[in-house]
Amino acid sequence: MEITVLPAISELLLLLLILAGILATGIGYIWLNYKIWKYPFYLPLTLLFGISLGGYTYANGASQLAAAFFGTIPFLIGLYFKRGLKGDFKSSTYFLAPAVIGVIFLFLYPLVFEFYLSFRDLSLRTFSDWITTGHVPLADNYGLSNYIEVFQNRATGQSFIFVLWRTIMWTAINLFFHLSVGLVLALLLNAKGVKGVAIYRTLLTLPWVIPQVIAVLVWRADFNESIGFINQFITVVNQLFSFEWSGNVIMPLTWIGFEPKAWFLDGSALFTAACIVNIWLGIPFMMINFLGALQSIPHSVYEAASIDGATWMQKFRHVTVPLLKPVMVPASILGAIWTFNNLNVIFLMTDGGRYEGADILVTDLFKQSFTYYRYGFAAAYSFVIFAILCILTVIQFRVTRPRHASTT
Amino acid sequence: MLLLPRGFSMSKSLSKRFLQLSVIHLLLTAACITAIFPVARVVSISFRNTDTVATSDAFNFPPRGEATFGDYVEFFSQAVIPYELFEVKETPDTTVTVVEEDPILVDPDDPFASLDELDAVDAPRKWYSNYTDLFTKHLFAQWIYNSLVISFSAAFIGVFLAATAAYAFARFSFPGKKLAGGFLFTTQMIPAPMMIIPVYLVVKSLNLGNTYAGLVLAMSVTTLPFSIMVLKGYFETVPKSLEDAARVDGCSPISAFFRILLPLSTPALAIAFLFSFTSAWTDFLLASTLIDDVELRPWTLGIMEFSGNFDARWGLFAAGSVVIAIPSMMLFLYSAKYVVSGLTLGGVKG
Repeated sequence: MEITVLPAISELLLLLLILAGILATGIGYIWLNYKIWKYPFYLPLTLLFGISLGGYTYANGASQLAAAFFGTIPFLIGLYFKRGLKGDFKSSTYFLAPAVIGVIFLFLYPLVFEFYLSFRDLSLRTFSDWITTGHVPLADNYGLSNYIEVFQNRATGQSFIFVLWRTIMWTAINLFFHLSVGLVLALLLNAKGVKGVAIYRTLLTLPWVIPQVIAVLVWRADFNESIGFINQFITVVNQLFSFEWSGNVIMPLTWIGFEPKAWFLDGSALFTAACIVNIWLGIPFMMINFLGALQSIPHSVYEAASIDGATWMQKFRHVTVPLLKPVMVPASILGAIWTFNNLNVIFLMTDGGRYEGADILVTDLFKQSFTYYRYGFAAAYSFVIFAILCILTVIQFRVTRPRHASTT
Repeated sequence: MLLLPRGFSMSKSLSKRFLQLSVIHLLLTAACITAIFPVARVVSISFRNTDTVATSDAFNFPPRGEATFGDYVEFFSQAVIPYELFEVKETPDTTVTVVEEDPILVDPDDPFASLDELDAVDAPRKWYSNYTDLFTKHLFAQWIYNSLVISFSAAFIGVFLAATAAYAFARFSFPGKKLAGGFLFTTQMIPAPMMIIPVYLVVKSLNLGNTYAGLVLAMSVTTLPFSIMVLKGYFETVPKSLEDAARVDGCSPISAFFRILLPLSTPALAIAFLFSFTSAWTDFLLASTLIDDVELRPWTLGIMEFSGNFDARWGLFAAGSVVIAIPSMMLFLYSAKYVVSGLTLGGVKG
């Protein structure tokens, strides 16, 4: 089949046009601000400019929120110029302008919009109305019903507490295995006299460098209950370790749950499979981190410890762990946030949410918005998740900070 | 194998050391096998002509008592070695009587409908058929091209935005600097789907749904915090006196930035560019919500289509994965080191 080049080029031209327009408007506005900010009617003028911009967006069919947002932003920038920019900040403002414009358009406004949506009833029923007129009705209970529904009425039929519990389990299990296996592998690679570290390290980083979509989908193919490799492997290994006892075939590995499963139909098996895949994916990142930190520990520290008669265990406990902490703490915080927010693995393992039983908060959120089209509900839901994440991060900082300070 | 030291004798400490080293190598080899296994699987599946992942339709392993050691070895090797490559197939019988089939009802929405017809009247399949099918019967080349266009433009825009902002953060002081830094850090905590819903709605309402422009704009800001942190850290290591000298010679701040600082900080720019590029290259979430047309898809969506639940074409999926994975893995392996250090740097600095 032939590649069609032209549509992409025209799309890119459109993109360039949009970008140039945004940039020119933004920089022009800042230039204007610098020219006139000592003028006594400066603030009323920017206010007037903002009101007219908001009125223009509203007249073009945008929502009241967008009109209010784009009406307020010019005034806020004017206020910032009047109050904040007393000295020589001219060049810093110009350098910040592109990123600030990007963040305002594609980050701040969507965030504000989402906050607005969380009090509105935007679902499939009201969606076409919103597209044509820009009007979204207020949700029940003075707009709070979305937040109430997060804890009560959920289309997926799984209670919020249960999904939250599963998410915490998911984060804890994954983080534990990432950290422990990553640390063990790094220690093995760093052991004295091991040859071929470069080869081992390259091979062990493969799970991290292979595109995630491909890796997870290969695993999904192998978890298929009838044709996949995993079930066949389990059957064969069980057979290998089986023995006969008074006429019955006994497979000791099945006692600990090592047996063929319908991986996608059984919810807990699906969750296990997703955990296995994510553990496999996440170990190399921790391994590389720890290996870098281990290699930077000077050998003389260990020699001094062995002169003092420290055993292998004592060296690990009193030399390696304290020196690894500066790497371990940020890596584990980062890893916890990533795992908590990891949508990709479960989304792909459940075939875009088609299989039930392994949803964590973020995949549930995605499903609520793009399978059930409950946008208003999902907006409220996402703010609840964000609040939980903030609380967890604060707790994690509280727990890790003092210990970290006392050891160093 | 381990090389024994020159003066090797079976003294107690040496044999203990030998044992230790062999245990380490054994563990590392086991870990390597686990790490490579899916990669080996995907390569072997890509050479199979069936649409399944299994070697044969039925799983027939000899029962307990009859299975020999050879059977176990064969089972494991069949999983990762494409035997089709080595076996000489008998030439298929050419005098096949054409069976009159009932005309199949074609679903107009099925993107594979016309291709299924193509499949029906086809030459006998070769060991490389999956690869040729990708480019002759499917839009795979188009999808790769789309991904390249999207990723390059998203990375360019992202790095441009990040570089200018990082310069302001590194060199100038301005009111609200601390607040902006804290804001950038919190953005890393926001769950991805939380941003996808409003971005999707905003892009839809701007009539930019199903276009590259909307997709690229949305992608370019996602890696902004990381890029700003990396570039800011690097800009701070470049001595300020260089720019000051240029300023004395009559250079404006903007041209000092573009002519002096940017050429000096190509390594950091490369890291930021690679990170933005790879995150756009492997993204499927934004694309799956924003892009509808088959012709506009990036490769991730195409590959997901192949692995769909009800009409999975694992052979095509595996071949496509190999085509994509080899260059991306080489790129990632090259950049992994730098990106890891940049990520933890961002974490430390907060």
